[in-house]
Amino acid sequence: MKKRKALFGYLFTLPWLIGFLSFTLFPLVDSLYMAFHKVQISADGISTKFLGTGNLMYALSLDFEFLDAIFEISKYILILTPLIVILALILAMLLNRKLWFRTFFRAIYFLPVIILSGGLMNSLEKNGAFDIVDLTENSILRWMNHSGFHQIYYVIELLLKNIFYVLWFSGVQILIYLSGLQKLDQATYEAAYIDGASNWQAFWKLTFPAMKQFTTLNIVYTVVLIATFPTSKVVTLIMKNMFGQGDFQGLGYSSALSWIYFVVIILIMFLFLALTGIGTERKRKG
Amino acid sequence: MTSKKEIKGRLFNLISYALLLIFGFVFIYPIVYMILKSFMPKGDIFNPYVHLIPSRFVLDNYKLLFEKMNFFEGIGQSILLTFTSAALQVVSCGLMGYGLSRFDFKLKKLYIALVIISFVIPSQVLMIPTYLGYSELGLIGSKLSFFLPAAFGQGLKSSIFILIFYNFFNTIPRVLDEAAQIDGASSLQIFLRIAIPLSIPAVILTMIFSVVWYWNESYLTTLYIGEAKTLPIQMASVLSTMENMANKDPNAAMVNIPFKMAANFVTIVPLLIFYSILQKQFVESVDKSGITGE
Repeated sequence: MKKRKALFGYLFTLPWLIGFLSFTLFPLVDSLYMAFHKVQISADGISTKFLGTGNLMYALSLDFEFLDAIFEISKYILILTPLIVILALILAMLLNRKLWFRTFFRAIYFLPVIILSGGLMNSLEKNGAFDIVDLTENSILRWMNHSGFHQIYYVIELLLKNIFYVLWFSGVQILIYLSGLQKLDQATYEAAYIDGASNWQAFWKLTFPAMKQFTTLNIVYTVVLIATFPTSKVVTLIMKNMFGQGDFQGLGYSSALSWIYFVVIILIMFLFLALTGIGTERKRKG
Repeated sequence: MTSKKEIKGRLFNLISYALLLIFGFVFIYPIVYMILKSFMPKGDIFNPYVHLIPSRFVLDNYKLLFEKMNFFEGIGQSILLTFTSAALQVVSCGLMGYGLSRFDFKLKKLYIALVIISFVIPSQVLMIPTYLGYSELGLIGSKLSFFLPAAFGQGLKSSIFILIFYNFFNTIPRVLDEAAQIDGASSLQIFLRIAIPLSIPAVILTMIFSVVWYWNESYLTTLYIGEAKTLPIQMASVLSTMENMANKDPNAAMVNIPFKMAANFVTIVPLLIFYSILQKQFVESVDKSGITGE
């Protein structure tokens, strides 16, 4: 009986296994192989020439366009991810309350999830739909820039310039937090309030720890979303290089770029996960 | 004492509504901008008295748009590509999620780990060999380049759907299966008669996301099936000719804003209709099934 059940398990997961081997594992290994080669497509077929670490070395030391793009997107991910995740938690908590017009509010906040796409964001941004605030007009910001606060100014400027990315990128995360909040046990909260806990304490002692796994999920989701979004400069560079004919261009070089990008994304993700891990660990001890 | 608490509660409510309204306004500002601009006559662009609200609402931009793009072919192609891929994806991910949730087998933990890892692999890494593979098999330009991965659980963001189904089936008590087993049902019968009918909320939820993500995906579509005249691809090509013109003449960029906004709006209208039909079920299934589980 147990054996039969295991057999069914393999049967149900078989389509996925076939797909994983042919559409994920094979391309993954193949692109790693290509990253070390010069790949050219000609009328006779595909020719590859071994370059060793040539592609990677060139990309990491001389391809300044790529390096700039990598630094920029890393900065974006590092600054915007916490903002997006925090905003998503706040909005999810607001939307989870008993509200008048709750359906209306939810419809508004879920809308970007439905229509978010690279083409649309690109076109809206280029044509003035995102120009809701004019930064140069703001005297506080101007003062910040010229006094000692230009680090803070930089973050605020980045945030305001990308406010629609921050908001529209938070849709799925709001949904994930909402589904988490709905599983909270109301009785625990009532008990806490009877014991004299304030809303603020209830949030930090009950809600926040209970949301830990959802926060982890949201961080991973956000990093992947920002990194792979088609408006990312690195993504456009990888696409552009694919069909180039130059020395350090083409499919092999593009593969090398995508692998460097992959490693950078993974490192950022681990950094975030380590930070949240430490944060909650300390809370548990304290 | 109570009155103080009441006041505090009211204040808290007030702040909640204020925050929701402010953020809500910023959330939909670009959409409002897009819709209003799309009905604007060209003359309004250089009219200093007109900002968001057109001096009069005209359909000129839409008329021009329908001349420039083949709307009916576009929507047909988009629906075919999107709904077929989504249906295949939901089925394959549903099977995978069910298999992981209901049966114990040696490689199960490994499979779950691989599902999670494949979510983190950027599509850009897989794109190049996949493109090469497709061109060797002669699949470039064919919709199969989208249908095949979807049918084998490797479509757009498939990992998320697998995990949704996995968590969803975990919430259905195994007692139901055992009862049916005692009555002599086979594993296949249990799947068809018990699991499928119960999984409708999860199917709706994943179907909506899958349709939406396939519809909005235009970069891979351009790469694999460039000739497919789907709505987003047609819009992208109409817009890029416009942007090229704009690079030469900044005034042209301004003048064409209403037209470009109309093009954007037309591309998302089918999505908005689709969402408004399923919106109630969508919100309910988010509530009921949860998209994450334990």
